[in-house]
Amino acid sequence: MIGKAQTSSLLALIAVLALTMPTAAAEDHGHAHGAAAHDEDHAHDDDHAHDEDHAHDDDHAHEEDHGHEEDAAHAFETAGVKIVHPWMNATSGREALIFLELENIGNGSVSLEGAEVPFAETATLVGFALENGEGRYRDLPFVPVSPGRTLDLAPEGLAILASGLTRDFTEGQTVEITLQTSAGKIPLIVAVESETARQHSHAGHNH
Amino acid sequence: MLRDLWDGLPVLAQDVAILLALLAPLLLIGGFLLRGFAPWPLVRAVLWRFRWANGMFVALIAISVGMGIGLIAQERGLRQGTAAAADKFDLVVSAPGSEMTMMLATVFLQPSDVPLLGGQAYNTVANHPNVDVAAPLAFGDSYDGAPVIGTTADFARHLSDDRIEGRMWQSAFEAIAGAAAPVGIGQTFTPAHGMGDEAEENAHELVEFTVVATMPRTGTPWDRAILVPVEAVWEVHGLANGHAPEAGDQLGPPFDAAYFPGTPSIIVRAEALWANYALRSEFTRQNEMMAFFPGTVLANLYRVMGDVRQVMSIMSVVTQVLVAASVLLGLFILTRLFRRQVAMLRALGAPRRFVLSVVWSYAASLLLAGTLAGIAVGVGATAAISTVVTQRTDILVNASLGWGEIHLAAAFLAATSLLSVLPALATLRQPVVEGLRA
Repeated sequence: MIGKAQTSSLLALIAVLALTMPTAAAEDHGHAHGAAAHDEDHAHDDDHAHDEDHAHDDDHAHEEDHGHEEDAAHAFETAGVKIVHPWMNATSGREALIFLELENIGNGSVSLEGAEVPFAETATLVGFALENGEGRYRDLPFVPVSPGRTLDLAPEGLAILASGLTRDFTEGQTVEITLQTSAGKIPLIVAVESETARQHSHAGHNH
Repeated sequence: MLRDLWDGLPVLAQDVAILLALLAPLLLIGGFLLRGFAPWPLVRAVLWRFRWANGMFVALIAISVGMGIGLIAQERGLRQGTAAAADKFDLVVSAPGSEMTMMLATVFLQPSDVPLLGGQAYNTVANHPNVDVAAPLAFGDSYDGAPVIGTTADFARHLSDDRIEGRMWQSAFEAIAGAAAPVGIGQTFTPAHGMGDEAEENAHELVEFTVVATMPRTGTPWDRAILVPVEAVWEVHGLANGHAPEAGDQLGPPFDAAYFPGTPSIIVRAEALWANYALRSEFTRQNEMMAFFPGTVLANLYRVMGDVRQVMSIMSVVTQVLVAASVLLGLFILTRLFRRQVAMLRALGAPRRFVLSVVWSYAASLLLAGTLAGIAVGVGATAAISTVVTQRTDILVNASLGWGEIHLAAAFLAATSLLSVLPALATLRQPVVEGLRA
């Protein structure tokens, strides 16, 4: 991830480049876009079962393109595990953090182990920690949740880190992922919130 | 592809690459103008001839660059210092309330009146299989301005990385002093009830603690603290001491819930990284207790600070643009000063590019000197402010020069040097004959 200081120096760099070599800067831009588009094309070629662009795969009930956002559920339940408000920030970058609340409504302990994210190269369970004043997300093997307890995946805390994103995400979209828990796999629909959102737009509602 | 390549580079390589990219236009234009020429004797002469005006220029640039750099460096120093202070506090469990208040109370020793957790709650936390250390804290007393804090031996070891000088306390009225506490090994003290101006000196008159150990410096507010067994703090305040009467002089856990007077917060430590997150969900119980990561609370604070920093950065960039504009204007005026010399050069048949290289080198030298001096000014100012902050708060704030500052300085230097081609070009437009008469 790119830090703020780096972002500002990048901006400074861009400013200088823009001042001096407008043509070169524009060319670079073109290249970057070209590369991104290229990646996306690859994603289409691959057999991603949950790719939103494969809207014609009829056996997928929750395709983004079907415009089911209004009635899309915000709570998902399987085998004593209830997932509420899965969400992520809109991004055109290479990484995204996915947040949710996991309630153990069963009788035994349940561990959150990770997720299958079809639009990313890898997806890992990560935990936030401060190192030298900078926030870092470190890989975690699993996190157990006792019966009756809730595990909160939220910014500057726990999250699913999806790296190597194969496409861009804009506010209002929904995407499918599958959560891996010791109680089994749980398919979810993740709401894409604004780039700067800090919580699910329905947070605070009861589901 | 480019993006992947860039992301794959080590951070240092990225920083160096950005620096080189920032300086590249400067080197290119310098190389183009100076190729085959040796304008330096002339440039030196001009620099010396107008040394007062030049000195003012360099000072102006230095102050503006220094302000920008100082701002970034100071903010980072504060962030690193406060984050380091929270290093020893992975997870804090307290009664439900404000995480910020509890974080300030435990990590930065700024206690306020907060509700207490009872013995049952404490035992729930302490007896959890994933918990390695569960240290109750007891705030409220002080000695000579230093907070006297009741806790357990495990926490004292954890806080000092097991590098206590002296010996661990063996009775309730022995103490371990932080590196900056006003007492040393062998000294005795009587704590006052409360902190600061409101402290009641005589409230605990009959009590005397003996310091048996000191802790190494940690660069945190805990350096001023004096640690004592939590049992002693409770006893001094006329409360039960956490153990049943038949337990005798037992110090530290396990505590008996029936004789546990309460603690504002429990510092929890777990060996495994994942356990901290599991424990947080475990100990978050509505109306009963809350668990939080001080690191997360601080990160949220930094996020707000980050927004402020961005506003300030924009302000400092605007300042630098203004300074750059006035530098440019000044250069136009300065070049008028040696109009006659330039006309002379051209009358003698010097090529236009040579004249250009002299004027540009002169301007670039001023800018380079100003930028370098600005870095020194920025670091100096940060060091001075950091020293004051460290003295006042006990939070070790280091002034250091980071890549962000170097990039800022390089961007300023590159942009202004490029722009200074303009006044150089302007000198060429002046008619030679008029110049000779001037």
